Amino acid sequence: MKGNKTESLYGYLFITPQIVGLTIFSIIPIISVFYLSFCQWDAVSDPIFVGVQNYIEEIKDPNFSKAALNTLLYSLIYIPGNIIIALLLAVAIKNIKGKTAYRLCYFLPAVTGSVAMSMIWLWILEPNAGIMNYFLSIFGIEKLNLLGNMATVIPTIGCIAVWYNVGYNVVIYIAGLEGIPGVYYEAAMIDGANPVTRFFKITLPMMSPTIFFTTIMTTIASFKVFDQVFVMTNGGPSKASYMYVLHIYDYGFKQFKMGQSSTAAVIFFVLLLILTIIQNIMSKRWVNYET
Amino acid sequence: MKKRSVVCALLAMVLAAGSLVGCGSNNNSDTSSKSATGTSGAQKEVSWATWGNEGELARFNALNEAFMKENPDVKINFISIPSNGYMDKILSMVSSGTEPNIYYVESGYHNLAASGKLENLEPFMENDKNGVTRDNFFPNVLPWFEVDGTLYALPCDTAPITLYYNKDMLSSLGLEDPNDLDAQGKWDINAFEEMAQKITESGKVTLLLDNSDQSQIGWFASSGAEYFNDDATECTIYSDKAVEIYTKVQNMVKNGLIQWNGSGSMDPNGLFMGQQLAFVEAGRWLMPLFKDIKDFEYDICPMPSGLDGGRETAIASVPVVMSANTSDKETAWRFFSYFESEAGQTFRLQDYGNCIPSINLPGLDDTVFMNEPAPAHKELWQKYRSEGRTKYVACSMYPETAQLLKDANDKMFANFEDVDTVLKQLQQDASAAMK
Repeated sequence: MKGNKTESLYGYLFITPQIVGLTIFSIIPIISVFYLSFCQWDAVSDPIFVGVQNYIEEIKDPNFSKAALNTLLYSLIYIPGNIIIALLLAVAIKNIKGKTAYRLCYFLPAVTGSVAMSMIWLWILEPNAGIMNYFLSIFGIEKLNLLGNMATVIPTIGCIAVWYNVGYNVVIYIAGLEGIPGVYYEAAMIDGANPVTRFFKITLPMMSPTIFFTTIMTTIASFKVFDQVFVMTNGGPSKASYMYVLHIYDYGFKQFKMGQSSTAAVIFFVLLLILTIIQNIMSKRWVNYET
Repeated sequence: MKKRSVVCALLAMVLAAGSLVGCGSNNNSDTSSKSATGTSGAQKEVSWATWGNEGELARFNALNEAFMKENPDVKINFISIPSNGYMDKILSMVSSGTEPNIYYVESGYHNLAASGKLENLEPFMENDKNGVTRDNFFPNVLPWFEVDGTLYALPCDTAPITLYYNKDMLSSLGLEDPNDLDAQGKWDINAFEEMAQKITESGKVTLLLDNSDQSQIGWFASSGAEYFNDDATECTIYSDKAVEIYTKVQNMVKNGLIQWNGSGSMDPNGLFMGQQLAFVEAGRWLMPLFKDIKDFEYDICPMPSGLDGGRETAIASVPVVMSANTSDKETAWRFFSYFESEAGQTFRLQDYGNCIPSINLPGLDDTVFMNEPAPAHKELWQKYRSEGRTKYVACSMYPETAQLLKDANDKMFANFEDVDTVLKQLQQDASAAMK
């Protein structure tokens, strides 16, 4: 008994630094944001409690709906792109010669800094001197201003984000594919199943827990988009790429409305929580955990 | 077992200490307002912060060394903060009471002053022995820095906005030099438009119009499109003159004569140096970059005058402030005064520095920039420093109005929405934001 108690004590001692750090850098700031969402605060004076006024103003604010809609549009490109392309790439390179090299190439963008990556793409897509337009001009195609056009800015940023992050999911999916027992494929081949049938009837169901995990993580990541938008377009042109996190940052640090910024952050948290709960509930229908 | 317990306990303490070691440290030694200008032995400490590129930071470090040599009882702790996110960091430091004694303010100056976070500089300026007195600053520049008539900041330097232009490009297209046109009284927005037509037809880019306060003043206020009235109490952007000039510029963008760079995704400096861009709108801050250009000749010219012949030139100037939390204000002022003085501005700005002096003392301009070989028409900076105007005070007092203007410009020049409708809505929204 005494031994158990002593071991527990050491256990708590070892996790104390993590708990202290979590409390100071995560829990206290989160509680503060909840409190500040009910206050008017310009970050330099004392906060003034205003009740739910911030929430009412935020819901009525056209910038809120614009940011939410843009983020949703971006997610409609980012999430399917990251899941489907990553899965197809993982299946394609799983048994190929030089698999490690392919894996490295796909994963490399994910380990570069997002700001540096955004700056490079800014130059590639530069309408007057970028290499993309240079190659297009060789084929006689008129130069494009993808980041300066309201119709193309979100698809462009979405595609760049998919290129940047797909490698992360590829690596996870390869690990998942390697965990599928080969006997299922052997049995299916004996029964005459073709590769497409094997993919839909064996690979997908067996990969469903992994796909579920990456869907959750990719969804959260897509709603948190900030770096690329901040560096490449700053929300423009004409707020066409004005994303939700940029909206939070803009109100807090550009307009000194920390209270309303905190309100937006709380609403963001609630929306993501609801989305995650819905995903969890729906997962019971399609996620297959092998016993 | 006992030995293992001791080792585990020690390891746990090391881990705990390691997780807290990153808390509360600055790039240099910790010099928060509450602890700064304290004494380490007989030495006092003053901390100050700004942003800057490599060259600028090297100058600031040299200035700090020069000050400390003259004032051996003072230690300067310099905090360089990247320009991208500068005010985010400063705001966080001000909120926690750990801001430097002296710092640049990129935005939100009037908010900071109104909330009592900045020191009133007037008592220090009276009879300052370095000549940092009210009378020595340019009278058209200083009012922006006043809050209810009191100075809580000083302009660190000034940068009148002119147009850099590629002389060789214009000459090869048979276009007259803008300075020659100006001497004849013909350098206006219509002449600029004609020039832009020829430049665009040759496959080059005339200008990247950006979404800044300075552009608003240079391109639109020159034609009578004022965002606010003189005492910053009313938004006045919706007027016949404003609709006329905004429509003209919108058509220029629509027809490809100039390009809209509202999101800043295009780099005008690179394009200018690559001889793809004819004009760049900027202050002297491009000279450290452009001074090494040898492939072509360039110069500066005034902004073209407006539709009625008027000309408004913007002057960019950054406020430098002293924190009200500073414990030893006299020592902090000693550095502040040196920074703003003839000696300090010479140190910072000579040899192709990024701006021109903000104080008016005999011989200072000659020392700092008038004897440099480039640009040829550098006297324009001198001229428009006296005749130009700083950006709109109301945009600093009501930060939302600055964003509303940017959004409206985007609507007109990226989205090509109806100018009349956009300006009318802008006036309504800005007026509401000011209440």
